[in-house]
Amino acid sequence: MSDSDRLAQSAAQGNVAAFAELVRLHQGKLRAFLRRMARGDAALADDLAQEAFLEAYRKIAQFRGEGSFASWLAQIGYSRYLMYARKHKLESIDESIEQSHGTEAALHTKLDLEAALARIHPAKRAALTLCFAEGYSHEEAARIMNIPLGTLKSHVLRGREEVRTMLTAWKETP
Amino acid sequence: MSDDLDLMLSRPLDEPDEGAFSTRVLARLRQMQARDDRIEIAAWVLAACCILAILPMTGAGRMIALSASQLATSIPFALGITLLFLMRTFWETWAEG
Repeated sequence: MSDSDRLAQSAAQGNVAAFAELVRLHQGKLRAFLRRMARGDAALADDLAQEAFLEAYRKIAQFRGEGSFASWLAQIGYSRYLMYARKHKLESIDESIEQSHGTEAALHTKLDLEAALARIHPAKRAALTLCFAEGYSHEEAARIMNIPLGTLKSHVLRGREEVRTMLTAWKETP
Repeated sequence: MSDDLDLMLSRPLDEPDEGAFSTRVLARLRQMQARDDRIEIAAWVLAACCILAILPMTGAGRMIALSASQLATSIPFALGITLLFLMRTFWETWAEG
């Protein structure tokens, strides 16, 4: 049992200090994940992360320790992001990202990657981020995103292909 | 390209500075708890008020209903009421007379 699991058990018994420690330990990773999901909108990502932690506190008794606390938290955070995206129709701003990219001639590779990730479907963005940057297995990522394993693998393959196509096209653009 | 891309994708995300994030979350948590506590106290007070208000009325209501049904089927009570009615009528008639 990890430290986070022990802290979660303690928090489930009403120990607020234990939950405070969980927030301190996991806030960076969750906020970073949500920032990528929110395409760099730090304020939105922090709001979503805050809501995710509050929801995690309310539901802490439901954490059974079947997966890691981090993956359970990421599941709540991703769910929060999806609810927000559905409510505010976030994908409609994809076009502005596409248009703005052409005006920046020489972007750093990392920024190019972020721009490419920002243009793909959120589910593919989440799948790539969870499986590559966050290092989750396909099974864990599928559980976090609450989708079948086959769908997750499809998102990873197609998402990577779309990003690769975009990066290649941008490199070839003078 | 594919290997390079996998390497790029595998680079850990830059974690933002802690700043006051945890403090803000805990402040919201305390607010949430305080609100939940207030709601719980209000619910208990409301429940207590309902019990205090309804229980005695229920008891009184039952007593009245029981008495009414017993009196309605009581011949002495009916004769007594009739006698009182007749006496009142007689006194009123005599007083006017």
